[in-house]
Amino acid sequence: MGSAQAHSIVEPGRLSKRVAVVLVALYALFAVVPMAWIVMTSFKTTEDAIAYPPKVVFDPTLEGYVHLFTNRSRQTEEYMQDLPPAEHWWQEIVREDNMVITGPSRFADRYLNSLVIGFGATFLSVFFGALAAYAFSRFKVPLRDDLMFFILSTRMFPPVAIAIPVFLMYRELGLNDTHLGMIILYTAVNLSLSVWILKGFMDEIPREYEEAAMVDGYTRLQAFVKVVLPQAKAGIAAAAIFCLIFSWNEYNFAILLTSGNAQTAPPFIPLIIGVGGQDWPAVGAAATLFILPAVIFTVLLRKYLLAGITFGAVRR
Amino acid sequence: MAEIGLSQLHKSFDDFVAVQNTNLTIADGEYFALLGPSGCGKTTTLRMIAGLEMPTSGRITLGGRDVTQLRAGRRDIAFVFQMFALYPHMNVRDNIAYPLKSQGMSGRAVRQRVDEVARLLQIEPLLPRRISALPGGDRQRVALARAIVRRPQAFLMDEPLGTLDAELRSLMREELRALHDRIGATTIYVTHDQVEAMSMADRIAVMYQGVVLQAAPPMEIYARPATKFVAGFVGAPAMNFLDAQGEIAPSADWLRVADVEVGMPALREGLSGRHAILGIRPEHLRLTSEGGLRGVVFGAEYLGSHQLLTVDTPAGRMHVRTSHRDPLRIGETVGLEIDPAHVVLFDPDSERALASDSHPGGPDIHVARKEAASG
Repeated sequence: MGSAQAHSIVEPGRLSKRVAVVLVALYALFAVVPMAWIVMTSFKTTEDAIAYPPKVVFDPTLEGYVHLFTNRSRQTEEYMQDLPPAEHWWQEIVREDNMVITGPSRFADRYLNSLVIGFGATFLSVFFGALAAYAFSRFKVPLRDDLMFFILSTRMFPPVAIAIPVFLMYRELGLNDTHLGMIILYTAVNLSLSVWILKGFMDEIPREYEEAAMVDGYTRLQAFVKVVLPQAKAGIAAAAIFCLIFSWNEYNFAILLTSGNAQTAPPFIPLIIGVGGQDWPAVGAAATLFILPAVIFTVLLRKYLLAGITFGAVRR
Repeated sequence: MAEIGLSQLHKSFDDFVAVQNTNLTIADGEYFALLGPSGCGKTTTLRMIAGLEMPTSGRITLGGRDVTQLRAGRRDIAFVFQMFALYPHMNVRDNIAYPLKSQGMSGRAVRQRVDEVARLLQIEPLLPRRISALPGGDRQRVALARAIVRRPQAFLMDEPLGTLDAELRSLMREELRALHDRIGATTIYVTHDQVEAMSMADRIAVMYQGVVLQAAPPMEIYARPATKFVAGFVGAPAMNFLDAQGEIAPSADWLRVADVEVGMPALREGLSGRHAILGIRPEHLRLTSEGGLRGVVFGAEYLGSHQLLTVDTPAGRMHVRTSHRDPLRIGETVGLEIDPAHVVLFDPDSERALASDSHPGGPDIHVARKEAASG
C-alpha cells in the first residue's frame, strides 16, 4: 500500500491510529506481565519468590530448574560434611540447602509425553482434517451440509462432558493411560476444528489447479499432495496451531485418563507444589518450559493465525 | 496428433441436461471452435473430452482409441484453462516442466524440452520468474507452453483469452492461430465470443442448451445458418428476423413482409401454416429512396468505412449496414430493399432453416421452445 496523499475515508486518521497503538500496548503489557512474572519466579530462590514486597531485581539462580528435574532428600550437617566434593554444578546448588539429589524427577518424562501426544495429535488432526476437508470441498458428498454441521457440533459441548463415557470406553479397550489413547482422544476433539478451517481454505483454491495436474498425467492423490497441499499451507499452519494449543494445554482428560505411563505435563505441574513445601521457583520453571514450545510454534506460524481465525476468508 | 470423435455423448447433472446426445468428429490437425452462450454445454463437452467430467452416456474416441473410461492423465491431451491454472507455488520453468515430470523424464531432457518450448513462445527471459509477477499475456503464453511441452495428441482450450483485455486478446488470437499452424495439433477451442471463433477456427460448432445446432466452417455458419438461433448468435449486428406471410410450399420464391413483396431463393420444402420467419443480414439490405420497406431512421452510427442504421419499419426494428456515403439523419424516412439471394427462411415452430436453392435446410432438432424464446 503506497502512502495515500489524499484524505481517505477508509484509512483511519492519525489520532485514531495513536489511540489504537496505546490500547494495543496496554493490552500487550497486561498479557505479558503474568508471563514475565512466571519466568522471573523460575530464576529466583525460594525465599526471593515469596518475599514481600515482591522483588523485581534479584540474583538469578537455576535452583528452580534443578529442583524441577530432581528428587532430593534433606540430610544432617554431619552427613553433608562427609560427602566428597560435588561433581556437578547442580549438586552444588542443592547442597547449599543441606540436600542431596536422590535421582531424576519425572518431569522430563511428562514433558516428553506432552510433546509426543501434543504433536502426534496435531499431526493426525491436520492429516485427517486435510483429507476430509478436501473431500467435502471437491466431491459430491451426500448430506454434505448436515455432515459438516455434525462435525462442528462435536465442538459445541465442552469435551469433558463426555469424560465418563470416554473413561469407560478406554478402560474396556485398554487405552487408559496410553500415549495412543491420548493421541486418539485429542485428535477426535481437534478434528472438527481442523476440518472446518481447512475446508475454508480448500474452497478458495480453484479446482483448475488440480485439474491441470490431472490432465498432465497425475492421479488425483498426486495432484492433492503436490498442488493442493502447498497452496493450503496457510490453512494447515493455522489448523496446526489451534490443534497444538488445545492438545498441549488440555488438563481435564489428562488428569482423568493418565497416571503413571502417559501422564502429560499439565496434570504433573500442580503436583510439584506439594513436594517439600511450596516450591514456587520449581513451579515457575515448569511453567516456563511448558509454554516454550507453544510460544515457538506460534511465533513461527503467527502470520497464518489471523487467516485461520477467519476460516480462510482472508487469504494472503 | 489425432482425430477426436464424440458419439451420442450425453451428460446430465441431476435433472439438468448439460449436453444432449452429441455427435461430432474433429479431424486430425483441425482447429475446431465450440461456440455458444454461457451454460450451453460447450465447457462441459470439453471437460468430458479431457476426462475431467464423466459422460452420463456415449463414447469419446481419441485417434481411434476409446478413451471414455480412461482417467484424464492417461488420455494424452493438454488443457488450457481460462484462468490459466498456473501453479502459484512454482516458478515459470517448474510450471512448464511439471507435465514432463509426471512421465518420469530425466532432468536434462526436461530442461532441454522446456528451453525449446520457451524459445518457440519467446518467453525464455521469464523462465526463472514467479507466476504472480507475470502480466496476463505472459501468463497466457506460459500456460500455452505448459500445454505444448508434452507434445500431446490434442489441445483443449477453455476460453483461454477470456481474462485478457481487448487489445491483448486480438494479439493473442493471431499468435494462437500462428502457433497452431506451426505445430498442427488438433485443437478444440471453447468460446462464447463469435469473433474469436470466426477469426481462428477451421470449423465451428454452435451449441445451445446442450445441443450442437450446426457444425460447419465459419463462412457456412454465417451464410447458411441451420437454425434461427445460429443466425442470431453469429454476426454483429445480428441478423434481422421478420414475420413473413404467404404460401410456404416447394418452389415458392416470394413472400410478403408487412405488405411488401419480398423475393427469395426458391424453396424446396413447405410448411403447413402461412407464417415463416425471414432472416436477412444487415449488409444485405439496400437503401432506396423510392419503394421497398419504408421506415424511419431511429439510430445512426457513422463508422468511417460504413455506417450502422437502426430503422423502424412496419415489420419491426431493423439493423442495416450500409456503405452509403452521406451520414443519415435520425427521423429521416428511408426505403429498405431486401437482397433475395441472401434470404434465409425459418420454420416459426422448430426454428430450423427451410431448404431452398441456396440452403440445404437445417436439421430437425428439438430445442425447448420456452427457453429459446426467453434466451
